[in-house]
Amino acid sequence: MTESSGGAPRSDGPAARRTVLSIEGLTTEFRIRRAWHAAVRDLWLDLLENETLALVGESGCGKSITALSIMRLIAGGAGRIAAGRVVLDGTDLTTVSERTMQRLRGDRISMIFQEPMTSLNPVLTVGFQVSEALIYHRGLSRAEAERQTKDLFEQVRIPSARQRYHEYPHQFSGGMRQRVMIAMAIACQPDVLLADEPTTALDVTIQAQVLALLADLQRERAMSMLFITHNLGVVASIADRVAVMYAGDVVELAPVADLFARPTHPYTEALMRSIPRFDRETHKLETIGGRVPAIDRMPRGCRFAPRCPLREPRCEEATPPLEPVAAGSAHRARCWVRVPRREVAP
Amino acid sequence: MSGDQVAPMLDVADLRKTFRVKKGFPKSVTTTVRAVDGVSFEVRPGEAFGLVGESGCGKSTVGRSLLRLVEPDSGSVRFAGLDIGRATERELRRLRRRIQIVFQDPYSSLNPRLTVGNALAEPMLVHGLADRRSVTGKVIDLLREVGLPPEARLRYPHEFSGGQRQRIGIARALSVEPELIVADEPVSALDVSIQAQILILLQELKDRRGLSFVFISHDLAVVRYFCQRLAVMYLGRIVEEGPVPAIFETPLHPYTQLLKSTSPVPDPAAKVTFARMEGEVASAANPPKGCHFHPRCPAAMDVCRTTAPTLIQHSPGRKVACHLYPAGTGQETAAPPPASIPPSSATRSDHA
Repeated sequence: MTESSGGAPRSDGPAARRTVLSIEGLTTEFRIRRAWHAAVRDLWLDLLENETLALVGESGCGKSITALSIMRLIAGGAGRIAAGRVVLDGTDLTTVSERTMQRLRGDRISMIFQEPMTSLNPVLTVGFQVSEALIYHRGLSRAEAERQTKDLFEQVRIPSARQRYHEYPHQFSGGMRQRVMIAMAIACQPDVLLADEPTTALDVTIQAQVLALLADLQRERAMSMLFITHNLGVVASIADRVAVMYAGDVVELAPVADLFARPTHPYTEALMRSIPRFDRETHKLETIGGRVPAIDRMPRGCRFAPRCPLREPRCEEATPPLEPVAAGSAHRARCWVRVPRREVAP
Repeated sequence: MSGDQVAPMLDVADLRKTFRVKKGFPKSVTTTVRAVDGVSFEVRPGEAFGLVGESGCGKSTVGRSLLRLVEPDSGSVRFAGLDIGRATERELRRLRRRIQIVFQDPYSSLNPRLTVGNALAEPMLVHGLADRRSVTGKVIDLLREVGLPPEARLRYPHEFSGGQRQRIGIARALSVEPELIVADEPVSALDVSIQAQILILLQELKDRRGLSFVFISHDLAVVRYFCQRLAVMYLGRIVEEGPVPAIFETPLHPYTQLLKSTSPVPDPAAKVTFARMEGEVASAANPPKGCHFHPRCPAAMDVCRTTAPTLIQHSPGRKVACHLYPAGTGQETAAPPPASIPPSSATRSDHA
């Protein structure tokens, strides 16, 4: 793949921001009937300092696999990182020892999941579980860890935080459990927070609270956040930049305002037209014909081509690169038709 | 809105349902959860009526009560003039042909060991809508109507994707030619592009077959697309009811306003006002006194803490249960529904 095929726009914006996490050509494969198939294919993404990058797409597009690959939580045997690097602060996470990885997880880089109940141990108090991270990574005494954990519970706005330290996960509502998970994830002041559908299981009013909390924490702590979601409304309200994934590829990458104002990839465009809105009349919903190809039956060329209304013969021959939609633009799309290949740049 | 000249197809009056829940170990405590606490509404022929609210607000219990899949404690459900609560087994079986339900997760409501063809044929045979000879043709017609190929009848539910399974669930509901469909979060488990396909399918079926719907959802956008009128529920009670565009343009109840302001819109310019207002949804097992919403309500007054507001007519076609809107403040002093009591004397609270 050429160097133009991915990555964040390093050169534009008033002050180019530092890259905190850089995903370079990540390919994660799964074995199906003795053959390996890529669920994420040659993915290039840079997560910048102090930004929220949303990774959006439908089930099976590879967005969660991307996060799990970054954390090196792909189950061995059936899955593997076949190529690429994930560089955090100069360290390639794909090659470090498991021991080093354990030190980094929950410390420099941490993750929260959709269903907090399955990530919490039901027989330990929430306070114990959060303070454990501080004891393990920071070498704090139990008393000091408890003190800091209580502070954290206040920062994530758990009501009567001090009393609730000694309670068990089942005594918390879904929204409060997610706050506990967030407290655990940010306990060691990570540089990067991976949030995988953290509000999908929550009611809208609670979702709004958790999103507000994450946005505040991200800003206050100058954290970088990779926010995975299928909900374009959530994307619009929390993201700085957005990467749209389809069948294992990033098909469009853009600052959030540009993406919603000018969705360029036919898939992004179709996705936006298929969601009804409550804030205005939706006269006509559009659907995307066909379905996402199975992982072991990916078409040649552009993976969206079989469902694409703009399909041309070349689309089925080669995969288009992720190119700027205009010279120097931070808005990139992977489409032969919409982003014609420019000749050698001046 | 046109008035009451059209006889309602479904008339739900003062529906109540409590559940007893045993919780705790080793010593368990039995608590009573008031899932539905005096719910009344009407659905007109050919109308899609939305029932909106967050988890635990009782919307699904209402949906199931309509078919007597849960037995309500009190209140009445009348369908086309027939009282479902008083129906005998036989009558109930006939009524259930006319009212069908579509669930959120079609996989758990389809028998995994039955081919799709058999799953669709069985209700038609049971209800005498087809015989052995004509049934295959009818199954194929149904499959075609929901956008599935005829060969789908030979396959099993696990061979289908989520969206296709929901089509099967819809086809099965249609197999007995119902007049009313209770759709309980029918698109919530689906990806957005699939969700659009199913919504369009439901819309077509509604138009073509003149179906009425009780459409249960937590998603305001989906309800706005599909429904003509809706009721917003909070902890077992309807807090607001009215025609679809009006409720979204000018929500009356503070809870509806909160739902509107916290629902994310796919437009970065219209950022949601992130409710930094804290507060959790209280549990239906231990609802607050007075207005259930008052602990989270920015406009709560003293009366809200003690007295539950009744659902009153606010303006033509619109009802609200909130002390901010005393009876008779609407532009038109349309006769309020019989249950309405001026707030000053409103003492009807949680008992009943």
